[in-house]
Amino acid sequence: MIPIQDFIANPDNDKYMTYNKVFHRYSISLEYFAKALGDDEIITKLGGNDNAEWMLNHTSEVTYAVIDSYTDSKYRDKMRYYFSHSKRLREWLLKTMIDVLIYDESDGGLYTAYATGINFNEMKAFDMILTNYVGRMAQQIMINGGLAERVMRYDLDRLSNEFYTLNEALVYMDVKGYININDYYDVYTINSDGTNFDYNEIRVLFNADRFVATQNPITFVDDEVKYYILHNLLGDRIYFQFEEGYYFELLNNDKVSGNPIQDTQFKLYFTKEDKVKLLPNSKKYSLVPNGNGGYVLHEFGFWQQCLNEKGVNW
Amino acid sequence: MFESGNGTVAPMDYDSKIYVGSSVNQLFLNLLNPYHHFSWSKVTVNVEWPVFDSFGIEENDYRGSGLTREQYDNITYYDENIFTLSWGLPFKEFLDSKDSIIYPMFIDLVNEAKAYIRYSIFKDQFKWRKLVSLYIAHHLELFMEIIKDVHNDRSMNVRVTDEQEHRKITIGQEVMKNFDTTVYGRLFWQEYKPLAKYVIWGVIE
Repeated sequence: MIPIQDFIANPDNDKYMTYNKVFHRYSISLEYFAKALGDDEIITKLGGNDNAEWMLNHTSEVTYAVIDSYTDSKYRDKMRYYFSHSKRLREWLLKTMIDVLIYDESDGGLYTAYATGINFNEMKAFDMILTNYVGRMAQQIMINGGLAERVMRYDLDRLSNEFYTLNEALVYMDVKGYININDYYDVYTINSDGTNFDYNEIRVLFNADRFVATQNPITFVDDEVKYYILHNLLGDRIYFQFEEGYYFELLNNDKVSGNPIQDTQFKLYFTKEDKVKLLPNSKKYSLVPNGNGGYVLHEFGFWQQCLNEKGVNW
Repeated sequence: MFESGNGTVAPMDYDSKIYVGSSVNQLFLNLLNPYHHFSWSKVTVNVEWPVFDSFGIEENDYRGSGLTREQYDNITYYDENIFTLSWGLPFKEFLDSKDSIIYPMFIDLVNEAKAYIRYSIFKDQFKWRKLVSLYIAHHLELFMEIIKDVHNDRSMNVRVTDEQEHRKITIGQEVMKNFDTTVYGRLFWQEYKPLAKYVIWGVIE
C-alpha cells in the first residue's frame, strides 16, 4: 500500500489541477494556467477557454505518455493508480506539466514535434524523439521526482505489519477476522470495574505458568495508553506493571485496584492445555518470523479493493 | 575404558579416571591369585595430562556459541536499521516502509542469513554483522536488478535487446558468477569462503 502520509484517498480537482476520472489523469486547471506560464493573456492568445482547456488536456496526455515510456506496460494500471493517489507524485506531475507548457510556448515545443520532419527537397528526415515532445528539462524533472522509475516502489496489493510477539500478531489477525483467537489461547475477559472476575480461577492459571500476555495496550483514565511491562504474583494479589509507573492489581477478594482503567473490559491470554490449532494457510495473509523473535504479517488483496472501490478497471 | 558416547578415545575432563580391574589381563590375574590385593581393591588411575576440555552443554553453548540462548538471540539481533547502518546503506530508502516492494525479500534474507552464517564461527558480533550485511546486500542487489528488468525479458513488450539478460561480469577471460557478480558478494565470499567448507563438513557447528 502507499504509505498513509502520502496517500490521497479521493483524487479530485483543486485550484492547481483538475482530475480526469475517466482517464485517471491530472491536468493543469484553467484558473492556474495563466499563473503557471506567467502570461495573463495566454487564454486570449489561444482563442478562448475551450481551446485552452483542449491544450491543457493534450499536454497532460503527452506528459503521461512520455512518463509511461519509462515503465513496463505490466505496471500501467498500478502506476496510474499510484500517480493519482500519491501527494508527492502529484506535486511532481504539476511541476513537469508546467515545464511542458513553458516548452510549448517557446519556439519549437510540443507542436513542432508533431511535424513529420521530412524534407523532400533534400531527401532528409529529422528524427523526432520523445524529448522533442516535452523538452529536456521536463524529462529531467520526471527523473528527479521519481516519475521515471521502472518499478513500482510500493506493493499496492500488500500491507505489512511487524509484531514483537506472536501474541500481538495473533490478536491483530483475530481483529482482522483471519483467525479465532480462542483457537490459540484461553482468553479471560475481565470487567475493569472488577465485576465478573474470579481471582482463584485466574490465580491457578498464573501459578501453572500459563500466562502469556495481557491486552496491549491498556488505556488508563487520563487517556494515557500504556504498555505492559511485567507482572508479580504476590500472596493476596496479582500485580501488573505498566509504563511510567501505571499499574493495576487483581485482588483475592475478586476486585480490581490500582490506576483506574478507561476501557470497560480487558483481556488476559493463557496458553491452551489441549493441542493448539495450526495457523491455517490462506491467500489473504502470510505470517513469517522476522528473524529476531518477532513476526511480520503480510496481508494481501488490497489491489482488488482499489479496483472495486473505483468501479472501473484501471 | 572411557565412555564411548563422546566419539573419542581421548580422556575428557569429566571422565579422566581409569578403574583398574576392568581389563582382560586383570581377569586372568584374579583367576591365578584371587587373594592378591589387586583382585579386591579398587585401584583407579587418575589421568592428569593430557586431558581434553569437554564440549559445552547445550544450555550454555547454544549453537556452539558459548552463550545461553537468550544471550545468543540478543547478540544476533538483526533488523533493517542495523543493515542500513553499514553495507545496506544504499538500500535505506527502500526499507523505510514495510510496504516497500523489497521488504518481504529482506525479511526472508535475514532469516536465511542467520541460518547460513553461524555466529559460532566468528564469535564476534561486528564480524558477524558485517558478513550478514554483505550476504543480504548481495542478494538484494541482484533482486533489484532482476525486478527492474531493463531488457524487458519479463514483459509482454518487445525485448529491448537481443542479449540474454543475466548477471555477467567478465574480467579477462574469466566470467564471474555467483557471489562474484556483485561487490558485496565478492567481499562476503572472500571472508566466508575459508570457513564455509568446515561448516559444510561439520567440523564447526
